[in-house]
Amino acid sequence: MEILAVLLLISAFLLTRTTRLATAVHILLAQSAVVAAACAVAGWQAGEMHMFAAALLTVVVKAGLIPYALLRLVRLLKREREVNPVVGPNGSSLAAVAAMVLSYGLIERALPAVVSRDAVATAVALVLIGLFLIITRRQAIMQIVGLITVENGLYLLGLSTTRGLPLIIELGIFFDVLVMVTVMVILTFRLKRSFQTTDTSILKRLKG
Amino acid sequence: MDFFHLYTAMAAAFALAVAGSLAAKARPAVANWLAHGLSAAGSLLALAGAAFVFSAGPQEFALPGGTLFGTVTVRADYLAAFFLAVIGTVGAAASVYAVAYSREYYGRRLGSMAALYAAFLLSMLVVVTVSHVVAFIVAWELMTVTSFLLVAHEREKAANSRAAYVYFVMTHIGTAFIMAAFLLLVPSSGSMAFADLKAPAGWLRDAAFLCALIGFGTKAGIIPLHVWLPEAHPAAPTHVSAVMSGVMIKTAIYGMARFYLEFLGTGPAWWGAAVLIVAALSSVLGVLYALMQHDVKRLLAYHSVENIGIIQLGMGGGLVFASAGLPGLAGLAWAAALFHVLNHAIFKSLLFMGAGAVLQTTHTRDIEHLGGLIRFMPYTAAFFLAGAVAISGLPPLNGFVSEWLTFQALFALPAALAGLTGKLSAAVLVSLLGLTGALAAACFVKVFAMIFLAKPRSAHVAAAREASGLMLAPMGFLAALCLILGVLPVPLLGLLTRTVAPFFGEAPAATLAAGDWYAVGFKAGATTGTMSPAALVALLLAGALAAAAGYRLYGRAGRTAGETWTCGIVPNARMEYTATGFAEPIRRAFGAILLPKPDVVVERDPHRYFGRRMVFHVKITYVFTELIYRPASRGTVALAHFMKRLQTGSVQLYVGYIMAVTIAVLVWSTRW
Repeated sequence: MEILAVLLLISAFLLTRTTRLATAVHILLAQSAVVAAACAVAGWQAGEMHMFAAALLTVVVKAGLIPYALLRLVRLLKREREVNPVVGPNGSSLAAVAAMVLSYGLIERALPAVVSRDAVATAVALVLIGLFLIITRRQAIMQIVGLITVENGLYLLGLSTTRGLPLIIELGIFFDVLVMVTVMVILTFRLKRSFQTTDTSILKRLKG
Repeated sequence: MDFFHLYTAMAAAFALAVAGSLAAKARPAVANWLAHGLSAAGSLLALAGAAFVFSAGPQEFALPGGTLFGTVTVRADYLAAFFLAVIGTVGAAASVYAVAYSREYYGRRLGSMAALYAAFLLSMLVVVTVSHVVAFIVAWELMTVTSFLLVAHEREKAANSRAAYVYFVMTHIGTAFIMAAFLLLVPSSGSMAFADLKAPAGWLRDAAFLCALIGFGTKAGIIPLHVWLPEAHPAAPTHVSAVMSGVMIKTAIYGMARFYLEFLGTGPAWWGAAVLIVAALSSVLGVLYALMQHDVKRLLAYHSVENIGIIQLGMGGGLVFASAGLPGLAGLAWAAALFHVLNHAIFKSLLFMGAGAVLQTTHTRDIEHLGGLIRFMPYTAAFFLAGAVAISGLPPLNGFVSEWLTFQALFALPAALAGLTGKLSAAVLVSLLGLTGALAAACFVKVFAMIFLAKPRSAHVAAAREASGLMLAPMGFLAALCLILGVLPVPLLGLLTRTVAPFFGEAPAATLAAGDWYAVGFKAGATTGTMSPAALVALLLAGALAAAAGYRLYGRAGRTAGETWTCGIVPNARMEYTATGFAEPIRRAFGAILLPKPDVVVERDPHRYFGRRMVFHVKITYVFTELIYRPASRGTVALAHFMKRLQTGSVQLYVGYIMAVTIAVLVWSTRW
C-alpha cells in the first residue's frame, strides 16, 4: 500500500512538470491504474469481494475509456500544449511538494496514529495538487486531468477511511465521472472548433 | 345582526368590489361606480361594526376554516374598533370622492386601479381586526403590495416608479423587523394567537420593543425612516394618497399600540425616552421640510411625518408614565395620541382631497403656479381652509383638542422623570410641540395663500372650475367632522377612555371620568380649571355678531375697488409673493438644520439699464438622507463593485477560491 501511495505521489508530481498534453494523459492513465491496484489491495486486505469489482470498474473507466477519449481528443488538437501556465513547472513542483508536506502535517495533527496514514495523506495531497492544476493550467485538457486527479484523491480517501464504499455508490460515482468527462471532452472540442484554441483564458470574455 | 355578520358583509362588499371592477374592466364607468360604491358601503359597514363593538362590548369569533398555525380569530376589542372607525370614516369619504376623481383615469387601467383600491381598504380593515401573528403579517403584506401597485399606477412617469421602488424597499425592511418582533414573542408564549402573546424575559424584550419601533416606524414614517413617504404619497392617485396618508400609516400606530400596551407589558423608562426623541425629531423636522416644499402633495406628505411625530409624543409620554407607575396620566397620553390619530386621519384626507380637486382642474401640483382659485372654487377653498386650520391646531377645530391633550400630558412629564436632564428635556419637548404647531400654521398660511388667494400665477388656473358635487360632499362631510370633534370633544373622549381603560386598570378610567386629571379639563367640576370649546365658540360667535351689529349701526359704508398701486405699472403675477419667498425667513432661521443652498442665475441684457432675468433656485439638504441613506447606497454600490472584482469570469479563479477555503478549513479543523 505504501509503495502504491508513493507511486501516486510521483504521478502527481510528474503531472506538475509536463507541458505536453499527451504525456499528461498517459501519466493520468498510470495514476488511475495505480488507484485501481490500491483498490484491489484494500479489498484483499479487508476480504471484501465487491472491491475487486470496483477495481475492475476503475480500470475500465478511468484507465480505459477516459484516457482513450482524451487521447483521441489530443490527437485532434495538434500543436496545442501548455505554453503559458499561470505558475510554471518549477513553481508547480514546489507547490506540489508544499501540498505533500501540508497534507502529511495535517494528518499528523488531525488523525495521529491512524493505520492508513500514508494513504490518507496521499489522498489529501492528490486533491490539493489536482485543484492546483485546475487553477494554474490554461489548457482545457490539463484542467480535465486535474479534475480526474482530484477525483482519484477523493476515491483513495474513501478507500482508506471506510474499507470500501457500497458498490451501488461506487457505480453512481463512476457514472458521474464518465458523464462529466464526456461533457468536458465535447466542450473542449467545441472550444477548438469555435476559437481555434483550447486555451480557456479566452472564456473570460464571456463575462458581461 | 351580530358582529360576525357585519364583518362578513363588510368583507363581501369589498370582495365584490374587487371582482366587479375586474370583470367590468372594459367599461370604466361601470367599474368606477361598482368598485367605489361597494367600497363606500363596506367602509360604512366597518363603521357599523365599530359602533356595534362600542355598544355591545368586545367581540371575537374564529374565522371559519381559518387555520394557519393554529386557529385564526378575528378579535375586535375597543382598540381595534377605534381603528375600524377611523378607517371606515376616511374610507367611506375617500370612496365617494374616488367616484368623481377616477374619471381622470378612464382608459388608464381604471379597472385594476379600482380593484386594488378596494383590496387595499379591505386589507387595512383586516390588519386592525385579525388576532393572529401569521394572518396579521399576511394582511400587512397584502396592504403593502396593493398600496405599492397603486403608487406605481401611473408608472409612465419615471419619478413614480422610482417612488414605488423606494417605498417597496423601505417597507420590506420594515416588515422584516415586524416579523422579528413577533417571532421574538412567539417562543415564550407558545402560540400564534394575539391573546396568548407574552413578552420574553430580559434583553429579548428590549429587542422586541426596538424591532417593533423600527418595523412599524418605517410604515408610520418616523424620521429617519420616512424617506419613502414624501415620494410615495404624491405619486399615488389622490384618493389613494388620502387613504395612505390619512389611514394606512395609522395601521402602524395600531401595531405599536398592540405591542406597547398589550404584548410587551410595562417597559423601562428608556423605551418612552426613545419614542419621545424620535417623536420630537419627526414633528419638528417634518414640519420644517414641509415648509420648504412647493409640490402640494409632497408638502402634505411631510405634514404626515410631522403629525405622526405628534402622535408619537403622546405614545412616548404614555410609555414614560406607565413605567413611572402613573396609569392615569399614561391613559391620558394614550388617549391624546389616539385622538390625534382620528383627527389627523380626518383633516389630512380632507386636505389631500382639496389638493386633488385643485390638481384635477389645474393639472399642476406646484403651488408657485397657482393662485386666485378662491374665486373659481369657493367651496373647495372653504373646506381646504377648514382642514388647514385643523392641522395647524387652532381652535375651535379638532386638531386643537388633540394637541391640547398632548400638551396636557407633556406638562406632567417632568414630574414623572427623575433627574435634572430628564426634567429639562421634558420641558424642551413641550416647547418643541409648540414650535411644531406654529410652523404648521405658517406652512398652511403659505399653502392656502398660494393656492387660493391673490391673482393667478400661471395659465394653469385660467380654466379652473369648481369640483363636482361628488367630490365636494365628502370634503364637506370631513370638514363638518373637524368642526364637530373640535366643538364637542367630550363624547369621543368618553370612547377613548373606554379604549385605553383595559390597559391601565379601572382606576384611571374612574379618574378620567371624574375629569380632574389634567390641569385644564374639558369637563365641568374640574378642580384646577375647565374649558368648554362649545362655550368658547358661542362666545366667539356672540362677539362676532356684536361686532357685526356695531359695524352695521355705527360703521361708515365705504368701498373702493381698484388694482393695487404699483408705481404706475400694471400689476402682474410676477410681482406676487412666492412660496419660496414666504418660506425664506424660516429657511434662514433654521439654516443650521436645513442647510439651504441657493442658486442664482442672472441673464444680463445687453442694455444695462433694462430688464435682466434672474432665476432663483434654493435646495435644502435633507440631513438624514445625506447622513444615512446616501452612505448606505454608496456602500452597497461599492460592495457590489468589490464583489464584481471577485467574479472575474475565470473558472480557474473560482476553483482557486474553493481550494483556498478547503485548505483553510483543513488547517482550522486541526487547530494548527
